[in-house]
Amino acid sequence: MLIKMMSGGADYDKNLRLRLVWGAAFLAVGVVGFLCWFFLVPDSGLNEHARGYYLGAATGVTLGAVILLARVLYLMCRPEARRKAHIQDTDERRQHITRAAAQVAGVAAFLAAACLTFVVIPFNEQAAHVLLGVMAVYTLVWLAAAAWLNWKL
Amino acid sequence: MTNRISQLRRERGLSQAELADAVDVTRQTIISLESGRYNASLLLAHRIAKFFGTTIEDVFLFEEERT
Repeated sequence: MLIKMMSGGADYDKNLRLRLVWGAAFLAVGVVGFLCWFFLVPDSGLNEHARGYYLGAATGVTLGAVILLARVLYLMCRPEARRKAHIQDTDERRQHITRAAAQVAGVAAFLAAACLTFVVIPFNEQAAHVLLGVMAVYTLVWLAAAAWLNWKL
Repeated sequence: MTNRISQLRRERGLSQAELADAVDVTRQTIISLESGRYNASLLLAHRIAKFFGTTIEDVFLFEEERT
């Protein structure tokens, strides 16, 4: 969804080329993750869980990037598939559903974080601070986005 | 708001998939429009009206607000 949002525009061929760039950037992030896991992590003294995070995150990002690149290259070579993908990506009902779902998920995540803060404080104050930080970032981003859109539209 | 998309489409002997293809949306969007579950944007309403060779007001029927 984020890739589509960041590569949206009227010219679909240009959008696909932009997605290739994003795919390459994510692939680079994955490769950096693998390199860190291979060269830095063994001597770092990190626990098993942290080591697993490096490997899992690097694998996930790399696989995602490879799938994205393969799909974009396939669409660039197949005009009929590209047309279908264009319709799927730009269909206004689907975009409306995506936006509405993101809105619901955002509100739910914010409320969940607010509830969790009360639960977490007695057990782990640092975790509560992290949750409060996430809620503060969400609120600030929301206010900034609303102000920018109010000025732009 | 109601619409005559289904009626106009049937009059021209088109399937939902063919209409969807003609106005660059998915078949699910046509289904939702015809059933009244989703209202088209102005841009899509314009494309649909243009495809049927008529006006937006002729395809989409706006009910007057009661005071």
